[in-house]
Amino acid sequence: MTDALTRRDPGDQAAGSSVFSVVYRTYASQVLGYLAARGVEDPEAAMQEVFLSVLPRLGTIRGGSAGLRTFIFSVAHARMVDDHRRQSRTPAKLPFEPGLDQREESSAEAEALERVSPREVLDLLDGLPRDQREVLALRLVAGLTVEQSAEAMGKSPGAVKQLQRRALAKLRELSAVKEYLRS
Amino acid sequence: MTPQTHLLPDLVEEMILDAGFGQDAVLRDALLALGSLAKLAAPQPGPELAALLSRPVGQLERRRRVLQRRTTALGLAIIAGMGLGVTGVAASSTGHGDSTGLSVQHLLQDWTPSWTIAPAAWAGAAQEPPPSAGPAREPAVASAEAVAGPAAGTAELPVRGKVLGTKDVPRTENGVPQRNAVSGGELASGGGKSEQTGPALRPAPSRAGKPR
Repeated sequence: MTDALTRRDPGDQAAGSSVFSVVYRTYASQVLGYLAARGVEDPEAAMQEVFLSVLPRLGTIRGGSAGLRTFIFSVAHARMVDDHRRQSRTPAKLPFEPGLDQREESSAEAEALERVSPREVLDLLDGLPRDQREVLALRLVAGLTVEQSAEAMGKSPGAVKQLQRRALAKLRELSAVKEYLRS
Repeated sequence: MTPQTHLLPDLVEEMILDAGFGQDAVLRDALLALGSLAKLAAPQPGPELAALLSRPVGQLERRRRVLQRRTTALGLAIIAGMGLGVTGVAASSTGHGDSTGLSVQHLLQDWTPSWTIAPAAWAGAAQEPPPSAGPAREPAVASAEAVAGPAAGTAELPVRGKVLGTKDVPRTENGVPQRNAVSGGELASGGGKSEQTGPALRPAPSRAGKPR
């Protein structure tokens, strides 16, 4: 069915954990990170709403793991758009909560995090146009392919590729400025 | 742990190469830091989500099936109800005229006026058609004709008044006196009033004397 379900630990099955729980544990962090990267006002609450919408419809999802991932982030994308509309009416931007950041990595990502804090990442993303920021969040945080990102955004794969290139160019420019100011 | 997090460094390298920026360490760090947001610790599910997570999938699917059947049945019931309503309205609208005519005829069947009018006055009225007689009076005359029988025409109204006097008609076919015979006097006074109003209003007593 999906990678989330087929890669379940035997311990999970022995504990009788439901499919819902497996899907939630597999994708909750990514959905939360995506919503945080997209500047949703209350990412945790929005993440729970996404799963409340997704889980009851699991039986209708087609396309295996790719289909499930695309579906989850399509719902998250719609939830983010709603949140942005609401924020545009009542702007109340909350700062990134450091307590939310409990990432533990000892790889290249951890080294990168030592140089770039989450707050700095979000600030960099703030300098990008909305569609470019969306493409980067879907590709890097949600883990969608170009085609899946295009489906979630309602655009063509070519348009997504173009947005991705422009986003990297803009991010490179902003990062260089930030690095220059830091040094 | 998510499946694609292992692929993040590779994905970042691929994206940087695709954009044509080679080995840009600063950009790479920014992209890796962004991708690491996928590893935020997920909070404990809220009460509503926890209830959903603890619910067996089979139960949920069963409930969804029941809801779908219920929705289908409700939709069919609404459509059937609308169809019945339309056909009922159509049936009642077509049957109204006939049933009303029949009921009026039944009501008029038992009633006959207790007064008589001189044939000369009726003859004059018949020669001079009332200018103000509207179509609303025609059904009353027609009804009176129906009560009088097929032989009674408009010109024979005085004769009919004589024939259907208080002596002959207040009794039914079984010989039982009619209750309308009691009101005959009242009707007679009403008929006198209408006679004074002019020939155009002559049929008015028969209408005023209709039993309600």
